Amino acid sequence: MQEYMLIFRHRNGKEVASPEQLEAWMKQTMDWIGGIAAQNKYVTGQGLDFDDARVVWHNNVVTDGPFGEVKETLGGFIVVRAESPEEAVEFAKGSPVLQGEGNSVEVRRIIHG
Amino acid sequence: MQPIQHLFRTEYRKIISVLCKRFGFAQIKIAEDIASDTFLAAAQSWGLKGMPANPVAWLYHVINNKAINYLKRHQVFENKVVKELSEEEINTPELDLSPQNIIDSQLQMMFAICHPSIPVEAQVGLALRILCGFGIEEIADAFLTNKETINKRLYRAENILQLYNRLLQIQYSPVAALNRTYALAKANGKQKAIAEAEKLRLNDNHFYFTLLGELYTGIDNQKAKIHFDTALALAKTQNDKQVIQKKIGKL
Repeated sequence: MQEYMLIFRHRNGKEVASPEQLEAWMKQTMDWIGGIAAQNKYVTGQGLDFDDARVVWHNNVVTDGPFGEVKETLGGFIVVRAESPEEAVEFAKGSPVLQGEGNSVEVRRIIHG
Repeated sequence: MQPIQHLFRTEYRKIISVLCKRFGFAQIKIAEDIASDTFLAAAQSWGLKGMPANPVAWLYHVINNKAINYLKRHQVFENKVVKELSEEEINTPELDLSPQNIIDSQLQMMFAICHPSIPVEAQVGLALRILCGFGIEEIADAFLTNKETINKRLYRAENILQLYNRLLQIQYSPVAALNRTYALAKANGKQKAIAEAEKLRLNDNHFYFTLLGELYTGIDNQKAKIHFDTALALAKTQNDKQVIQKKIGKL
């Protein structure tokens, strides 16, 4: 068993969603995570706010974030336990993030030690 | 008045009138039976599946079928109705539910109810029951209660599911996982719950197989039996075994 981080990226990260959309989104996300947690494979997870984001560069240059150069904005992450990268990928496929065209979930194994 | 009650009251009057015009006023009891059956079916079906796009068409379609069935089956047809009907009428079993015939039928009904040969008290009773659809309100009420009850159950199941989703994130336990899956079945249906239940793989847990058995009951009873049998083999106490046996019995 290894730990994998699933990193969500949104193509239109700053797109404002209506309260109804946000509520539906939250429910879908909780259902998805609940499914992973029910298998005892959920470790942790967080959403990341787009407001008040900063980027600190070489020479301590600070700009407003999120990391603006990249078209896809980082929305959050979860950490799961999985037997293989393939299993981690199967978890990732269930993410509501993927309903949006151009969105993605990056899957990275966590290095411990 | 709620839309469904209004609908039932309005259509009851029309339907009874058309049926009486067709079968004769002496058959009014049968007409009422057919009409009541139809509204009961509507309350049950719409309560589960929601209102159809065209509720009136739905009602008329069902009424037509019931009327045809009735004509085909009943002795009364042979003995009484046949004698009254012309050749042409016998060969066209369908009801005429056109707007003109509905209006004509209702007019006939009004004259029939207000006929001087009927005592006044009886006239009032008939008018209330048939023209105003007063009896039909109970069925409409049942529909509303059904719908509310179903909605409340869904709402509760949904809340419980969110509770278990969060609980499992903080602290996993097999019991919470099983309860969560059960709540999922109530909120989102058995098929979705089955898909998630298969992933739990709590293979040494008799509650797990009992849940799988429950979820498959009504969907694939063969699989349900297999799971219940596994649960039975894993169960330790007499009480647990009895509970599972009961579920097998219900298959």
